[in-house]
Amino acid sequence: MKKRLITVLLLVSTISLFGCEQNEPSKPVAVEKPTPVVSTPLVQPTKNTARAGRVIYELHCAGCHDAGLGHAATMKLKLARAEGMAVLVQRTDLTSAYINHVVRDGLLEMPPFRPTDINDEELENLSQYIIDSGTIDNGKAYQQQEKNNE
Amino acid sequence: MNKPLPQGISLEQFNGAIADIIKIIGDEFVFTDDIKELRSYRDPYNTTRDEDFAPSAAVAPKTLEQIQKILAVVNQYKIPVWTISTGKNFAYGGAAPRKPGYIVLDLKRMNRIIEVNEKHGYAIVEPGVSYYDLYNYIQEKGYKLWIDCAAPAWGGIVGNTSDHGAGYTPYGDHLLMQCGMQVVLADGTVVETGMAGSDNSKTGSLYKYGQGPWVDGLFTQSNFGVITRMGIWLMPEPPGYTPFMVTLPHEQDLELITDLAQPLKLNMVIPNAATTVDLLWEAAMSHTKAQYYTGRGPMPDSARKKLGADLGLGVWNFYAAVYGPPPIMKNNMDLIRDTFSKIPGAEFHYDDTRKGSPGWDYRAELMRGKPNMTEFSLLNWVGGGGHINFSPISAVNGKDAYRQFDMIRNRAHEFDFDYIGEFLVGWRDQHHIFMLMFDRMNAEEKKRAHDLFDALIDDAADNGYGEYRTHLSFMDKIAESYSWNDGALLSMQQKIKDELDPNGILSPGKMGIWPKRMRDDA
Repeated sequence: MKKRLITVLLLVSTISLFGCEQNEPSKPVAVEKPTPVVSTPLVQPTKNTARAGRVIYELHCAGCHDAGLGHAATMKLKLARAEGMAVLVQRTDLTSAYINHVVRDGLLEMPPFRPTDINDEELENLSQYIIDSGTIDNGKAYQQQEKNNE
Repeated sequence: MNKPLPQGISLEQFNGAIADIIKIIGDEFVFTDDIKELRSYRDPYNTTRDEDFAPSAAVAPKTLEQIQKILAVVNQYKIPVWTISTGKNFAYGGAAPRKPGYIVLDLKRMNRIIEVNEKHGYAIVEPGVSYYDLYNYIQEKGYKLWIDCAAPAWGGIVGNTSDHGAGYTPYGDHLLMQCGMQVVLADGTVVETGMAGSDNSKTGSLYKYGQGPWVDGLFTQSNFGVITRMGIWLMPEPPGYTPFMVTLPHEQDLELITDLAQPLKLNMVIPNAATTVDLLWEAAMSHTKAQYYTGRGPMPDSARKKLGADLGLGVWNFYAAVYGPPPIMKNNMDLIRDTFSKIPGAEFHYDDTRKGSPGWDYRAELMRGKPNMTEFSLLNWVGGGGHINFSPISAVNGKDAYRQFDMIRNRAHEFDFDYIGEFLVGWRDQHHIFMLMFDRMNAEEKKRAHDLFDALIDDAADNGYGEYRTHLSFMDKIAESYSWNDGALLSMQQKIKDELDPNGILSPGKMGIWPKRMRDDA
């Protein structure tokens, strides 16, 4: 994962710059004390730094949607839909609009994700990553499940 | 649906406040669209209507200065803000505010890991840092430190600690391991607590108390300030780690295992936050209820027996671990085995036979501070994902534990729900978590879950048990159940609230603490 080091100095100067542009609050405020440590933000601020789809997937989706046991969503999709529809990144039946809706709104067991978790550009990246990763013919997988259910 | 607005605030005033906040943080981080943006700020799993907790907006500052300026704006308009950090807080209300119309102050973007100190074993983090973030950072740097995470682990250090959350390593009592915080008060004043209250302090994350009253606790489960930074102690990676599980065949074994675990915990032979987990919680890690029972109401005994036998689980399942150099682990493990072997039918399980079973794997990871999401599988149990947690505190005492279990189980069955629960065994207390699962798409079931929860608060209060944390819907009722001496505790909290936040802008109603101007309407 590509990371940018932001020094404390740079951060302090950014904050000061911001401070000059705005009206100060009516009451005097304490100045943030310099922190005698190295500051390395792990997750970049969302503005202008949309993270890649794979990064978002690993941070927010993989815990429940990866292949294998112990992944709540994979377990549920396998039971509710079909074996071949259980693993999100293998599927080829998902559209960007559908993924965007489910991420923002939640669906049954799945909760919604806030725009501060995943911003709009990152959500597009995520959808594209999931769609591009697809490997399974979901039509066949679903037909097989229907057959098994009969 | 009409636009939710704060009580007594016109749309014009609201728009004025939002325009002012946009000037501070830019419109990219001010969310006001009820459908496209704000549905992600509701609690998807609540027992009532979404409208009961619908925010009017969410705003996401990046810096301390931006928070100060936002607070100046909302003070001017007297609009309440509901502070959240990262993580989800599901079972307790999610990101949603206590009343409709509040503006959510979302600190997710403040996500700097300020410092990780390997030698002294601590980290200083901002509110937006999740357990995943801190874990990944430590792995990447190769520090020999463990974190202690909640389960599910997309939670955040500041949010979970300030809501008195717990984990599963020896550092499982999160607030106990917290050291120093930076807080913005309602008037914009920034306070560093403890040792960091002195200029150029070098010990802010090493000694909790500084001089004078220790105030950090005042900012937890409260609405007295906005925490913008927190120190948290991290456990040095031990030279060895052995997780184990004891399966227990009978319901009454809860009493035995609790009494036998108590001295082992108090004397730190078992150093970590152990868990006594019921059959259904364990089973939900790999199965759903419908695979064993499709009828209405709680799973009958016959199906439970088959489930336990198929998955090799007990009616109760006790998890703990030993840590350290191998001779110490062996010594402690011998003592633990001798102790628990007194329970007829108790069986010990280790990595060699359980590895690959989701229930075992995620506990074994959590007890060494590795974040995972497996516990979210509980939401599959009945399907539809709805859940709230009823969380009374119990002594580490067999009779109390069994009495609480029996009380909750009987009520749950009366309302046609399963008992799904665990006891998180600390040094002197147990967090008893009853996971009340329901289908969130089923209105009747939601209502029934709500009524059950309400009845349980009364049952617990009648028996002298109090809850450690609760959902938005029940904050007032549980605060009132701490009623000794005419509710002197809550009265004192309200006095502090009025002094520190005279306009009542910070998270009104959190844990039953309302500002003066809203007390009559609450």
